[in-house]
Amino acid sequence: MIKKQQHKLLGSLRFQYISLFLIFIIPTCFFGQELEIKGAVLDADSKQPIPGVNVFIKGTSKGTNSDFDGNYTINSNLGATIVFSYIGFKTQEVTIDKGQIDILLAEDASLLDEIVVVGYGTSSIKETTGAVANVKIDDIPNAATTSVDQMLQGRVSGLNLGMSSAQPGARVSANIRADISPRGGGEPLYVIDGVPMINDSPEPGLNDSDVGFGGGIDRSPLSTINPADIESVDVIKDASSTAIYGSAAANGVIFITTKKGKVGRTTVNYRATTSVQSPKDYVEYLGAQDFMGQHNRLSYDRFLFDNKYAPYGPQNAPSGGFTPLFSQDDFRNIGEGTDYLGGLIKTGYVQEHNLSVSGGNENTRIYSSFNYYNNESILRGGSFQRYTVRFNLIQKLGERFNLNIKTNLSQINSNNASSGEGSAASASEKLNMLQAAYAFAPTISPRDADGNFSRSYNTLIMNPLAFSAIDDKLRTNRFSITPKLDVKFTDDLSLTLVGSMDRTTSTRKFFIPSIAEHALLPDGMAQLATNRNDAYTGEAYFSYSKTFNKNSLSVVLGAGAYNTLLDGMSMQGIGFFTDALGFDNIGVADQLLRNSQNSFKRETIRLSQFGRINYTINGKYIFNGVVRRDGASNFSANNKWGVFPGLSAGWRISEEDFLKDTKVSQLKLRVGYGEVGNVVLADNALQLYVVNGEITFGNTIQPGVVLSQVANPDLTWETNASIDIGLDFGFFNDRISGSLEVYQKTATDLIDYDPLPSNNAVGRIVTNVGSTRAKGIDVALNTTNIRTENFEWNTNFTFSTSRSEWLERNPNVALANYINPRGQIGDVFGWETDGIIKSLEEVPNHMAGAFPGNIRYVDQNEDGVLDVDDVVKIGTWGARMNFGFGTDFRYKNFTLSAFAYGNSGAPREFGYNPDPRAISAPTPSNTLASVKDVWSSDNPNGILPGVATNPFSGNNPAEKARTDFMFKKTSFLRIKNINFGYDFSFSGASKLPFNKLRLFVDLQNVALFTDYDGYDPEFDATNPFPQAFTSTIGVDIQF
Amino acid sequence: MKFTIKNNLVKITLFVFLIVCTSCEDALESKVYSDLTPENFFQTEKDFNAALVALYSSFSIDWGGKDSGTDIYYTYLYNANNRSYLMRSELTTDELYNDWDPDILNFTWGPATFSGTGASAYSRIRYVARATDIIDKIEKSSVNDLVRNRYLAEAKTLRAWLMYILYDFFGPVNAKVDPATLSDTDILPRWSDAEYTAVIEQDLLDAISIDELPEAYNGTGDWGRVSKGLSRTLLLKLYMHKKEWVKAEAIGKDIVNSGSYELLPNYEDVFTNSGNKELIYAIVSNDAVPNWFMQHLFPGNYATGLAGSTTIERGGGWYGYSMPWEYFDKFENGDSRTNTIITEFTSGGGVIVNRDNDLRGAIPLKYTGIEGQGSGPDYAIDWVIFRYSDVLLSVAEAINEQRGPVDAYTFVNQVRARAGVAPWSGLTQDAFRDAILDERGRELFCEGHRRQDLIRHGKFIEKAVERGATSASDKNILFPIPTDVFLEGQDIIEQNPGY
Repeated sequence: MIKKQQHKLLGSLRFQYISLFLIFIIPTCFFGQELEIKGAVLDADSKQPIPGVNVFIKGTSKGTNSDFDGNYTINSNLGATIVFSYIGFKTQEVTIDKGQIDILLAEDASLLDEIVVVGYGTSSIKETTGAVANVKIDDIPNAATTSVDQMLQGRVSGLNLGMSSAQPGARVSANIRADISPRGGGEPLYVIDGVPMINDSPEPGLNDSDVGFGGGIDRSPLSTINPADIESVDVIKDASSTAIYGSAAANGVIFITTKKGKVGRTTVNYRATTSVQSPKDYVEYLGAQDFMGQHNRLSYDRFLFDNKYAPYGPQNAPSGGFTPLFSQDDFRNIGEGTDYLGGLIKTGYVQEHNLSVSGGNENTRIYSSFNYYNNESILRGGSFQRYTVRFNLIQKLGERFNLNIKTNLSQINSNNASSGEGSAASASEKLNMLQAAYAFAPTISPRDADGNFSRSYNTLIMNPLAFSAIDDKLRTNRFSITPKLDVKFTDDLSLTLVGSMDRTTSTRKFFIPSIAEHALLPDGMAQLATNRNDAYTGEAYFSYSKTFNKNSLSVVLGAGAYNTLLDGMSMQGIGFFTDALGFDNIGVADQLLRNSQNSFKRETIRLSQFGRINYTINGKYIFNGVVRRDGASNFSANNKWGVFPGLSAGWRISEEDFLKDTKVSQLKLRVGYGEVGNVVLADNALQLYVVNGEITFGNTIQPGVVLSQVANPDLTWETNASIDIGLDFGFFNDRISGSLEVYQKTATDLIDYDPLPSNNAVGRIVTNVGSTRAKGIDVALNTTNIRTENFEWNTNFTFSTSRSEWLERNPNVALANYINPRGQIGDVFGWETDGIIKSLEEVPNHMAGAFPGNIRYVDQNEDGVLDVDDVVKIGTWGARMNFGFGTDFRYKNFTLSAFAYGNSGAPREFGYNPDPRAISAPTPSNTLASVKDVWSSDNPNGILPGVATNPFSGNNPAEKARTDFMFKKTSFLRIKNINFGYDFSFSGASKLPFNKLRLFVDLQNVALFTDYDGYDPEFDATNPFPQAFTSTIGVDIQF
Repeated sequence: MKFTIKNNLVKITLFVFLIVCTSCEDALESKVYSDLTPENFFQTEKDFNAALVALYSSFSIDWGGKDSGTDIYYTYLYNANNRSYLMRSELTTDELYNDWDPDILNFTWGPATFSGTGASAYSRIRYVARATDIIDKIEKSSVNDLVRNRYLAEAKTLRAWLMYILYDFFGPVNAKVDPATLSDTDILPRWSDAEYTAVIEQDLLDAISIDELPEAYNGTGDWGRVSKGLSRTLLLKLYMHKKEWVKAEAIGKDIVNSGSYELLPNYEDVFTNSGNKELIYAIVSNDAVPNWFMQHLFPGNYATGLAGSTTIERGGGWYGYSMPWEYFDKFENGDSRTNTIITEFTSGGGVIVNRDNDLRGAIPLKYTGIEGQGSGPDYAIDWVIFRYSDVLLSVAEAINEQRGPVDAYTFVNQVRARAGVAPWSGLTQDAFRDAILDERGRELFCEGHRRQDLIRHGKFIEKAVERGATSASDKNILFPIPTDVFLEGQDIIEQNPGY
């Protein structure tokens, strides 16, 4: 036996040298009636020839390989069995009955579909004992989608995603099962190609002391990764599996695996899409006529109220005492006025081009891609442009070494349109673009007589159209490289060495010129900021696997070192004699005392050891144990190390004899228990003096330093233990399949602040105290309803519900008496309301001194006093249920898919009540159209509070002075996506240069069903970047 | 290629476990780069200064900041926020009107109203503990005596001032002045009135007795630091508050006799010229920390108006605060102090707005030296906190309370003469008492003294009820202990009576 071994690098992407494949040249003795059998091996899908296929006669050592055109020749006897095998394809056996045998090899879908990533290795999903959900990204229409997390809502039961805006690339906050750490840090750990990712966005915010729209963007670090490069996402939900990530895994782990080259013919994929984004209706505000009418109506009531005339006092107003600001002539002359919001929200466009090359042989496999994504956003001035380049290489280096290098390079260039809640949204000069459009009087034309941006009656509000003069550029560069070397010592034992560097650098440049006429920055302001996130990872682990009879054992043992380094700097300059230089020469800013510079650096080092052992008996009984020991630099002096174990077991009932040959194709019961850690707030265990506060002496501003933290050297990990029981099932040959999981997770030693007495220098010390628990159910169900040759209909469904409660609270925190110590986490309390007080006579005794138009609070205990005893539970954060529903049809070459998701009962702080005092002021600001429902003396049926200040509102002892009036439920159902496509088919003999062509139409955000009357029930910010209905046409070509 | 499994396996295994074990504990040392730790702070003179600056920062006229010891944002004491110590001292009185905050307007506040992030004034109790820590550390430090003693005097004065502010709003509280108790977590009861004020008094007396503390910093680069003048004035405030007239007269006369201060000939100049000789303490303002009070005064459509003979051109403001016309009417004809008040303006649309046409109250601008015509924060004018005419009027009041007005005229008439109004004479003790309250109202309007003055004269509640705040009662003389503090103390920290 001669073994030929060479490694060819990437001299040619076409892999002509497939003949260098392992070849067995068998000396054969010729006996009797041998026949020469010839044929071609083709890809069943593309009908393209497959070179290098292993062809051999079963039970002999006789074999050959197909040549470059897929042809083979072999000698054998009639009746013998010929076997075709090739990596990535299903092995086929054919009995020789003639001399010409052509064969179609189908891709081994089972092999691709059923492998899940479990951390330091993969597992067949059939043998998985943890709660793992696998999502194939290619199955999800992703037109006009910037990052993969935006594609997952509703796809995985128990994974709930929250959005704050529709800004391109905006962060999606993820939560796996219930978040039971009240001090937050509820985000899961993202592991990309085996390497933990820093989840902090490096994008610099702005110093918002002068402009309130400084924040506005919070982009997901995943937006730097091209979704089309992602093969699959595995969501690991239970601690018995995530324990192998120890202290980082309290909130679950999401594995993102990028594509790798496939052995076989080189394929080139090109996809191009064009999308049109039509804005969804924003919350309605008043037009010019209504604005004047509502001002006149409410300012009259304000006059009555200020002077305590009826209905606010006993006496009637004297006639002629009040002159409205807008006269009848004004109403006649104003016409339509200006629609400021309409001037800001427009149609947006997305262009995307994606080119990828994939191919390889036994020795070398590559996947490489280039992606260009350009979005001119629906908010004026906003844009998002991204380039990504990926190069993934798998290279065999000799028999024992296998090198795997994954490289990603991306750049985002965006121009930011201000949106979202500013830090001080109430100050008129700090309104963002959308808030300004609401507030600016529609009766005023955008430009004044001199051609400058006009001012509203309240001259502090920036002209909404002047926001287009702001230059707010952001550039983010990410470079990551993950080399991984596998060393195979024996067939059973190997060592994997992983190194990784992931660096993201983000620079923001902001300039507001003098022509924008910002009230506080008449001579302009510039800010420059750069942040850098670096993550360095080094890991080494041994993998051992061995099969004994019908039992198998696999063991992983390894160690890792992780360093994350975040640093950055920023500067601000105010007062520019010219607009011409923008942010490119910040040194000319002349208001020296308002200029500022800042820098910071944070570093964390974590060292770990980890192991896994898996033992399977007879393919039926599976036992799995994981453990990790973690040490972290940000942890307290006396507890640098923690140990986190996980144990699980599975019973593949369907492998038992009594279920053989039944309709039950798959049935597995699994049980797991694990403990993971949470290090939230760990940084706060040190005694620190921080720069805080300043004062001016003479002409110098001096910084102050205060003690900000006292040390807790005994702080230890918050432990999150969970029990998971799951049933995976499949019936009728898996035409109906899914899983049902119930879980309970308990957090103990919660990391929280112990309050220190109010007279101490420092108000709190971080400590371990308290305990919480969540219980929940996750359901996933996939069905193939119809499957014929021409028609196929599949549906999938996810559902999850959970409930989390306090087991033990911090005894040192005095609980208000309305709080149930064992209540749900996220219970929200406030006064209940009961409509509007409509006259002085209606003023209830417990609200003596209130006025008509005030909201009526309920005196729960009827003691005649509104106080803390009247505070009741008015809701609980989070949805009661989350669900997703997808369906897809294929008829011949047509495909149609649709996906919807929603939730039930998630409440929101309601930010869409009109402001009757703003519109009734002597210098009126515009407000929401629902101001028409505001109660006033001439609108006695109004349902919203009037102009009279409520003397009781400030005395509300509930947190944030909440009432049920300001807190609304947001149950909704969103039809997220409809995709329609047609696949042209080409036979192997086609003269066209490509072998696949798909045309498709994709619709995103098709419809929303909800009773919520704010803007979008999914957005947890008020005045968010607007949502669009996106329609896309695209073409997908494979060469 | 020959691959010897044994050798390489051993090497690689070693490598793996090296990652794990080499200097583990060193690598896991906490990394602190942007903050200071006990290892590198409180070492040098400049460190002590930085710690002192943090005490001073409570008196910044910037809006407020997050207290990094609680992570709660609090308003600083002296700024234009309607819930700051300064503005609550004005908005609860007849001198200034604001309808944004119905609780303050109507005297309907309760323990929850100024709790949590609203506990701006109460939160300063933590700074008393910080001051105690600094005093202790300075006393134990080895920096040279000149600096050490001056810093000690500054820290004691700042601690006394913070304690006085707490006392003014809440009565005696459980502030920590013993360094040995700083890290105790026991909840302490409130001090008795006598114990508490004795600490304030002793701190100030200590500061005054320290030779290294300069008499005054007016006109120097250290303007804004504590001087003996400030320490004495705070002591005067405390004695006036406690109606200890003998001591008040004595300390007031010490200030007069120090020769550091004098009345400027022109009232407007007091609020225009930084560090002038009439000022005992002012909070230094600049472009970075503007004096936002004026922004609160201008109506949104303001364009131009007259303060005396000075034309004030501005863009619009927030129109939060105005001086009720009834209060403005207290001024006699020809009183030059009204030159700092705008009573009529022209709007951007050319409309004249005044008392007869929609102007809710006068615009008590006070600081007529503002520059620029934008709406921007170009109010870089020092915020006046204590000044000499207050001392003169206080001495006059203390004298009258002890022995009638005879000796008092000389003090009060200096102030009246500067305002261009007739001197007083021949008043009864009672008449003088009422008159001096009004005189203080005219001289010191919108400087944060009115609440204390009305309380001292027993008219705080009466005036509130007159204005229509029918909920006002004697309990409102003190603000309530915030809910969260009261909850923490359970039965140990007593709530103020009536809440």
